[in-house]
Amino acid sequence: MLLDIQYLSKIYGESCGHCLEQTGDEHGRAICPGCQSVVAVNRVNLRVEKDEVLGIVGESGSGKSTLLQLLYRDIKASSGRVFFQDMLDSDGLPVDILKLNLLETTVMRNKLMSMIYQNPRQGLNFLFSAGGNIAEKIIGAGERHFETIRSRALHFIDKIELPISRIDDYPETFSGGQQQRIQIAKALSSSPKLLLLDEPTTGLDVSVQAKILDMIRMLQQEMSFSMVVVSHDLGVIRHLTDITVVMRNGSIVEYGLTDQILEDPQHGYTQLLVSSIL
Amino acid sequence: MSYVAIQGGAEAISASKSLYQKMIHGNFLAKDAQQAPLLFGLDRIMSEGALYSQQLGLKAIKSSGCDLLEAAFYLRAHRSTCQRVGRCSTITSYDIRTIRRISSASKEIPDGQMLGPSSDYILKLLTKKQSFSSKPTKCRATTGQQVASALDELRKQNKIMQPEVNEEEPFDITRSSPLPPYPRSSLMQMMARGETGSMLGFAYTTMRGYGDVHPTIGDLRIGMVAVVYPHPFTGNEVTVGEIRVTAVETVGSFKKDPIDGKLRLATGFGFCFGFNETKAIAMSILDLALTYPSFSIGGTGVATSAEMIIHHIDGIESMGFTNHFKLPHYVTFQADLHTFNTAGEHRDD
Amino acid sequence: MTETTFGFFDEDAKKEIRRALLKAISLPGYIVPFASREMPIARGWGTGGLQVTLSIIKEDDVLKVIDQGCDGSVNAVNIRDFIVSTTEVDTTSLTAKATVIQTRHRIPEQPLTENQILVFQVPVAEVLTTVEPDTARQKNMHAHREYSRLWVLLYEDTAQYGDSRISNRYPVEINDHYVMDPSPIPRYDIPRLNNNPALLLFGAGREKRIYAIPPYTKVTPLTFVDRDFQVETFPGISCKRCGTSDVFFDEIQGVDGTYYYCSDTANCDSMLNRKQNAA
Repeated sequence: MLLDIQYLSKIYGESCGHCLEQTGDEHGRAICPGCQSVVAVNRVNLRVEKDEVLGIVGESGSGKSTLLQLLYRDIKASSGRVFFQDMLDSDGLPVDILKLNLLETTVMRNKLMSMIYQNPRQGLNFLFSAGGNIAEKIIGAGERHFETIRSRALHFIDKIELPISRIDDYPETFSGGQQQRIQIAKALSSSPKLLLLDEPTTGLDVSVQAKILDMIRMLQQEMSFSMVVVSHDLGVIRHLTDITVVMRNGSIVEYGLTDQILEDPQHGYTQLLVSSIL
Repeated sequence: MSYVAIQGGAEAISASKSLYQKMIHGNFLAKDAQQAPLLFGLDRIMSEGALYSQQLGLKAIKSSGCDLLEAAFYLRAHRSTCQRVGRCSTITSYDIRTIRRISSASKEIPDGQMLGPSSDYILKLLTKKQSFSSKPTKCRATTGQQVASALDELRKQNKIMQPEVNEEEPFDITRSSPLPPYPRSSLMQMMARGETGSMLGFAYTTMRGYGDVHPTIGDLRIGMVAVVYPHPFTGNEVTVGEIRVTAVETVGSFKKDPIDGKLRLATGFGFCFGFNETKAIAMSILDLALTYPSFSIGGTGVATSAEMIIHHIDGIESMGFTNHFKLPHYVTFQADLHTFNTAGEHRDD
Repeated sequence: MTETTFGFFDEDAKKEIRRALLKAISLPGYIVPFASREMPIARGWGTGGLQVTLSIIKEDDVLKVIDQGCDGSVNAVNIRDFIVSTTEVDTTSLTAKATVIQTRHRIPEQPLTENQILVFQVPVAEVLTTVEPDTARQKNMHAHREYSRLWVLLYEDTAQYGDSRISNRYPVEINDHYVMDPSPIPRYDIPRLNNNPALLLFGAGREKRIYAIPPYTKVTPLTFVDRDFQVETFPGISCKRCGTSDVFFDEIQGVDGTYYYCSDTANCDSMLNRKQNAA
């Protein structure tokens, strides 16, 4: 098991202390009736195996993107624990990654996980070149040899099928699809064990979407890493994932093989979701 | 002096203009006739130089050829030579013996509107002779009694936000350099000695949509206030003198108070040495924008960033650094050219 | 209007600056905020260095002030005159004779000793400013030694220009810990910070920051493992006045070509003297 999420929750607002029990799927709401706090993620338990690709679907506001941001520590969790394979403290005990300090979080982001954001502006530093963005990740993982950094950046520019002559160009000179590829190159350049993808192809046109999804799938098989993909697009989920989780009002309502979820949904909400989109 | 009643307005304005003329022509405050025409310049540099001394202020104006940025700098530099002897008792704006006090928030205010000396209504014509009220007008300052803020009525009704006070002791920017998150007291101190023009510029951005769209002046007053100091031997409070000051309270927009969910109005406060209404108003708007950034209709902008305001409003600092570019940079520029040439050669290879 | 005291400041101010200095020396390369006083000399003209000098100088100190390596430049003269007017200390242009040296943009050519303090005037104290202008985030980055963005800048320049484009104010790592701005000295002077016997103090007046490199501290410029740190070299060039080579030169464009003179004018004088004595 690569990632073990236990009772992970995120509450926005001053909690009255009873928010979690009064919200979630069984109550049909994410807003606490007691204190009006918003429970974006409600006691989520989830495991991701090595080399597994997990999809999270749900309507907007279901908590799926928040869950991803909690894992990458872009936002602070309200409660819960998250363990990562081989992340042990000096006594050999598992480390809760929600408790890492800033430096440890940076190391975690540069060595263990990477995130691909829907908006390239979030994932790329537009003041640095394409190669510089990739270098940032490699440098963050501790590399200090120029030639190693450069050749690795070139390798990944080539991998994402951009002409290597464009390595020193700046992000704004690339198209939206190309910027997304650079994000992928940056994310993978430190050979992470887990890749988090938040709506990676939303906003791109259909032909570009298909190519990027193919590339992600190919790189995943070649480099072997696990992925968690958040998307409202069931086409993306079908294309990429092995396992699918359905979220609503901050909690998980269904979990299963992607094929089974899409072909034979059990939960009423999943049935609605599948029928309305497919 | 009241301009409350519509029909009394013309007379009040005429009296106000007349008082203003007397003030800047030496018939008002100055014991020294030479000082009167320099009043606003003197007040400005005493505030920006953070040193209240009319004698030194006049000397600074003369020494700088009336370059007021430079004159303020003389005062600030002089401060560095002065040993701190102690702290005076807290001055409140209620204690100001006002010679002018207005509110644009409501027509009727307790203790009345008092226009006092102001140039607001004077036509800015250089060549045309303007006539002023021939009626003998006397400027009265309030004496003795405290004058509450015109916003206190709303405050009593619990309709005004109370800024959170997390500081046991006010920060002292003259003894340490503030670090983020900047305590409100450090921001207020920086602004109290900030450069009028810079603060005006930043405050103006909020008025133009990068912040609160249209703040209202709740209470503006100028006047004299006593400086009270505990006697070093007896410990009794002794009045050591009076200083001219300006105080402004501004009202912004309203929003839900996180404490109890009630709607409340946000306010800002401005205060400075001397008569400088522009600066005090700008300060109150900046305080409003900084203390209640999310209350601003126009969203956030430069003026809601403490980082932006605290480092960029000091005239003495910005003027000094701007002028330092006149110094030789031979070594650095030569080094630049070296790397430029090397980079060029590398590019050509 | 009081008479000014020894060293211009009141004693409390001096004490406070010395406290900041002690903290800075205890934490090499760490930036210490201090309540920078306004000086009669304008911000940006050396008020940080001046405050440091005035707070440490004693009656028996011998002062040297240089600007761009030169004792005679207007700013150096102005600062020296001001310090002397409030302290009446002896002054010198001879590096070896000075106990306190205030400098802008250079380190004297002649090696310093344990008995000397070199005070740098600093325009921009924060090395991270170019990659992160926000003070709070800068502080966080230092606390976690998160300098990868400086390395990315170095990567970008090396990739595109063969070397970093930073010609002066080159980022240095102090004692394998903090990364620091060494003030706008040329690259030539960077290796001379390393293991220097003198106490090196840095004062930024407008930015209100003080930092220090204690004697014999390891100072390394940020450089990739497989690249050498490049300094300005002047191959085959000697001073038109004193004939010295292997020092930092000022390039003077004359009508009939380029001339080179020692940047360190006091050193030039000594060399010229020696040459004349030998002759």
